[in-house]
Amino acid sequence: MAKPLDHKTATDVELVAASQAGDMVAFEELVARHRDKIYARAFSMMRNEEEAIDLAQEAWVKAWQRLKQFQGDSSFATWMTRIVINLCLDQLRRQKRTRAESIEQLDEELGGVERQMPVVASNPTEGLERAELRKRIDKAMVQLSYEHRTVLILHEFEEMEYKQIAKVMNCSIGTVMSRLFYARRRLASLLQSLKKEQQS
Amino acid sequence: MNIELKLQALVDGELDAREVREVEALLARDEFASLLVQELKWTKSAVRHSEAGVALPESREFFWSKVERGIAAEARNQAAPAASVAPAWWTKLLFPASGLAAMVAVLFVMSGPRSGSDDALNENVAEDINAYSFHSEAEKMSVVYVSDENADFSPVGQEVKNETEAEK
Amino acid sequence: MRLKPKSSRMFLRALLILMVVSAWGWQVATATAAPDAKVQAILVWGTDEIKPDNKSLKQLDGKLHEKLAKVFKWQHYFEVSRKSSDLPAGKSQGLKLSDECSVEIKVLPENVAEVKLIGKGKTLVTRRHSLAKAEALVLAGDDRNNNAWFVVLNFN
Repeated sequence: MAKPLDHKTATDVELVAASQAGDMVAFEELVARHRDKIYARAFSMMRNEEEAIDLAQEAWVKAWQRLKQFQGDSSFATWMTRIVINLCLDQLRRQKRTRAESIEQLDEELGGVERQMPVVASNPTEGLERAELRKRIDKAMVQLSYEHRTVLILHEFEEMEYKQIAKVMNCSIGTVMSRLFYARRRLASLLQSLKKEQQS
Repeated sequence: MNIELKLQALVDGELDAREVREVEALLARDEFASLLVQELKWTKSAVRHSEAGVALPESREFFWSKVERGIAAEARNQAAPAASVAPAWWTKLLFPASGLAAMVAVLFVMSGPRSGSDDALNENVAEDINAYSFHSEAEKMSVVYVSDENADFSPVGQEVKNETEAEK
Repeated sequence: MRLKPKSSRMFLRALLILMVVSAWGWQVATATAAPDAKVQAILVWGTDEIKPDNKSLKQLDGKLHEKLAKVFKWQHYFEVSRKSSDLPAGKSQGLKLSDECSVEIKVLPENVAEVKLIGKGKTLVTRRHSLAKAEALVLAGDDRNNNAWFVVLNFN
C-alpha cells in the first residue's frame, strides 16, 4: 500500500503532483510555502497592499486551474511568479488607460532625458547596512513609472533576459533596453540625492 | 543600438563575443564610457541584492479561505455554461430522481442541528452579501468575514472614529 | 387471607402511574432542555490609523488584541462597545452594540447557539456555533477607508 503523503515534509514536486491529482490539502501547503514570495512580487509591482493581496489571491486561483499545464520545466515558484507578474501587468495596463501621466513620465517615455543626467561613478550606497539599502532602493523605485520599475524588477529580481522581458511586457527588445537604461540612470541619480539629503 | 545601450548590454552579458571585444576596446579609450559602466554596475548590484522581503499581511487560514472560495467560484462559473446545452433524452429520467434526492436532502436538514465545522450547513447570509468563513485552531476562533467593497454596513459610527467637534 | 380495601388499591395504582409519568417527564425535560449559557459580545474597530482622540474608544484587552492581530492584518484594534447577557434556553436574546449593529442569540438543543448579525434592521448573517468547545465566534467585515469591524462573541 502506498505511503500517504506527509504534506508538511513533502517536496514541492510531490505536492504539485498531488495537487494535480486533486489534493487540495497539498495545494494549500504550496500556497502556505510560497504565498509571501508571490505577494512580495505583486507588491513590488503594484506598490499597493490591497491590490497586491487581491492579485496574489487571483494568481493562486489561476494556478489551481492551470496546474495540469505545469510540466516542471521550471520550479513551481518560478511558474507561480510568472502568473502573478502577468496579472500585475494586465492590471497596470488597465490602470494606465485611466491614470493621468505626469510630465516626468512623459519625459521617460520620450527618452533622451537619461543622457543628460551626470554620471554617478562612486556608489552612494556603499557601506550602507542591508536594511538601510533596501529602504533607499525602495524609496527610489517608487518614484519610477510602472514600466521602468517593472523592467528593473523583471531583470534584477527575476533575472530575466531582455528577450524574455520583451515577451512578457509585449514590447520590443529595444524598448526593454531603453527602459532599463533610463530606470538605472534615474535610480542612480535618486540614490545620490538621498545620500546628500542624509548628509545635510 | 546606440553606444550607451551597448555598454549596458555588456554589463548584462547580452553581447556576443565580437560585440564584447568592440565595447571593451571603446572602454579602454573613453573615460566617460568607463565611468558610465561603473555606474551601471553598482546600480545593478545594489538593486539585485536589496529586494525588500515583505510578508503577506494576512494569516495562513484567512488567505487560504479566500483562495479556496475563488477556486469554488471559478468551478461554478465553468460548470454553468454546460447547463445551457439542450438536455439529452435520458436526462428527463433524472428529474424524478433529483426530486427524490431533494426531498431526502430537505428531510436531512430538517432532522436537527449538527455541531461541527460544516460551514455550508451552519451558516446563512443575506442575498446581497458575500461572506466566507474559516477556523483558526491556533487562536481558538471561528470567523465569518463579510466582504463588502462599498462598506455599506458600518457598525462603528462615524462619531466614534472621528474627534468630536467639542474635543477639537 | 386479608383483603385490601378497593380504594387503597386504586390509590396505589394512581401513585404508581404518577411516579412513572413524572420519571418519564423528568427524563424528557432534562434530555431536551438547553443548558444555561452566558455570552459576552465586544464590538471592535480594526484600523491602521492612529487612535482618534475619542473617549468612547478604548484600548482592547491585551489577549484579545493579540489574538486578532495574529489572524487579521490591521495594526490597531479598539473596543467600541461591550455587552454581556445570560442566554435563557430556547429564547432569543438581543444585544445592541451600536446604532446600526446588534446580535440576536438563541441557544438551541444539543448545545448550539444560533447567532444572527443584524445591521440596519436586516439580518446579514446567521451562524450556528457549537458551545461544546471553548472557542470564540468572530463576525467581521470591511469598514470604510480600509478599516474593519469585528463582533467578538465569547460564550461560557
